[in-house]
Amino acid sequence: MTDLTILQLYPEQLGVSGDGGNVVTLAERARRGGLDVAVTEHRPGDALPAAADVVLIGSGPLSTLRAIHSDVLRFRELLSDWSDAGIPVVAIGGGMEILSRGISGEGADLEGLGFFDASAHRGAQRRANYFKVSTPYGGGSLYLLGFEDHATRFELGAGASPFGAVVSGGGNGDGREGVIRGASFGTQMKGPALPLNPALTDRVLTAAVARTGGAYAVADAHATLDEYATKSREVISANLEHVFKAM
Amino acid sequence: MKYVLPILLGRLVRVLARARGGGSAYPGYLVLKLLPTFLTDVTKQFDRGVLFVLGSNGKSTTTHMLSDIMRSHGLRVFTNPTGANLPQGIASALLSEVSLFGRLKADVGVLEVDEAFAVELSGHLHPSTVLMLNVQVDQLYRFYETSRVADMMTDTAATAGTHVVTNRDDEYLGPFESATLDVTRFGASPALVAAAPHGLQNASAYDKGAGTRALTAEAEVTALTATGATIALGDQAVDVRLPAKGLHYAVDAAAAIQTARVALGPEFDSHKAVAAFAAMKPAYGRGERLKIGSDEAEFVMFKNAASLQLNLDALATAPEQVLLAIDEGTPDISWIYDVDFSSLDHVDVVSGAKAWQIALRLEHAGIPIGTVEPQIEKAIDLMKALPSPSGKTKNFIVNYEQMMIARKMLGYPDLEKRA
Ligand SMILES: [Zn+2]
Repeated sequence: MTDLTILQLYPEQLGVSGDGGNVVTLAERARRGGLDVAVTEHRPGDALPAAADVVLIGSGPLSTLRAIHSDVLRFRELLSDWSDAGIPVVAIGGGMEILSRGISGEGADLEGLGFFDASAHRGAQRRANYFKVSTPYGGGSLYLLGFEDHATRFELGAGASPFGAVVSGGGNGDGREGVIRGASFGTQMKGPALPLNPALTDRVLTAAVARTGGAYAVADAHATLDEYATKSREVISANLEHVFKAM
Repeated sequence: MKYVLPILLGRLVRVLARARGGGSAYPGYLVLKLLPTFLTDVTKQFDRGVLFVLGSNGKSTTTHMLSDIMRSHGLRVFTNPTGANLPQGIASALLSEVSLFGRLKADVGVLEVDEAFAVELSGHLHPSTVLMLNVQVDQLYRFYETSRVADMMTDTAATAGTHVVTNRDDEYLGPFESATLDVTRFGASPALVAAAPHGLQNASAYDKGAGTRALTAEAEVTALTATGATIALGDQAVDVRLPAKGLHYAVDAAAAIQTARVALGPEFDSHKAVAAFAAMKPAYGRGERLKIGSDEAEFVMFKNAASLQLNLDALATAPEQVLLAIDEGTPDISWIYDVDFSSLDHVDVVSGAKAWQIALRLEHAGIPIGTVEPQIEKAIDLMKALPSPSGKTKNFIVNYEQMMIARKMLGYPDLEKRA
């Protein structure tokens, strides 16, 4: 019997920044925690999925956001209902932007799903750097480390809450980073975000199984993953100021 | 006389830079400052003009193949070293070969060109022929849009003097057309592509919709053999030996042969091309084998998900001893999660500044790791210390910067410099 169904939206089109890694780590940590996991995928033209316990939508350039635009708009009600029911929706980069009210700037004029109360403005100064964010998602403050690569100013609506605060990097452009909606969130953090931040992954998994009355706990089987993630994070921490040439 | 002073100065700076062990692009930069027409003035002496090689992956390998084919036809070739594909890098490379009066005895220039500078360089070098290899998801931090990279290449192709050679199997580049230019294509047979574990790794043009027009490849890889490939050229087929294993190298060979065919016209002789491949040494780090103790180190270099995947797919069996290393030369390695590592059953040593991130990726895939050693020098010592493998081969799967360090450590001089 499946304890956890992970749904990835548009794995090919919105999967160019290692977005599959977020899926891989959710599945692997859940399995090592003793859960029976299924991974499902939605592609353009597929029937809308019937159910999921956690949803991931990754990043992609504007051209592919345009290509999946009409398909993703079909999720407007479903994602909203799911999120209200406590199903975490994790949206990265372009995926977060298309889930906002819309994307403008640099010739982009894409209506979004309005899932997040925010809007994305392309054409901000391009950022390609290591990224450190603190987030209250799912409990006490957590430091996240990863990589940031975008040229978007992300403007939150008056009542919207950011996913976190920027410690190092650009984020939304105003010291805040991403957006949060219940157990769902959007972020520019790549690297990808979840493998490098096991504590965040565990909070997503906890939220996902809490809804169905299940339980998830970190076990001995997670030790090597955690050790490698800790060491990876130490290296990123030590190199936060390293600047990557964009040209 | 206008050449003497800038060239002397450039050479002097070059000697100083070398003595300091520094990079090689600055002398070229200086010469271009003093003599903005330097690139044009030197390359217009080439009777057979200049050929451009563009692409996300395979530029160096293909440039190397094309140069050797041209040489096999008796031509003197000027070419730029691996990665010296920006204007200042090309100027530096020319600087090391011109006379003080700006003379260079070459018949043809075969140049790999960075896509971001290709249109600008075309304005100086006026290539007669432009070869477009592929658009693959590469260095997103640099370009963000693969369609933007494709536009850079096709815009450059449109500036060619006579010929464009493009990749039939690339959704962005295959459909390239021109009313005034001779456009021909290379590719791999559908059966070969279908048999490749992860295909050719060319980017999908999701925004363009799937192409419906059937395109012909004038040079098509139709079979892979133990040491090479069969390439169909119309009704003729040639068997070439390849300097390194993998379908992508066979496709590069088809691209080089097709480009030589159009550039040489009736002079092209397939026997000479076959002879060139038979004698060809691997390009730096692409299947190159170097001595390590009583064994050999086989180098496979990659710079992104596509090239790593293609090289992993080309492994006949899981390597007995293998080092995998990535450093800060590849800043964002998010894509390692898009790579299928299942052709490895273990990795002996992971190294480079990204060693822990690689280890994290491999642990997610359940691939056992011997040692995580971020310092490449120590990692190479660990590889040296491993008992001699039965196949006498220790595999080094590395990015460019790690390869350079590893070569040096194994006692091989640094012949090429990056621009
Ligand atoms: Zn081994």
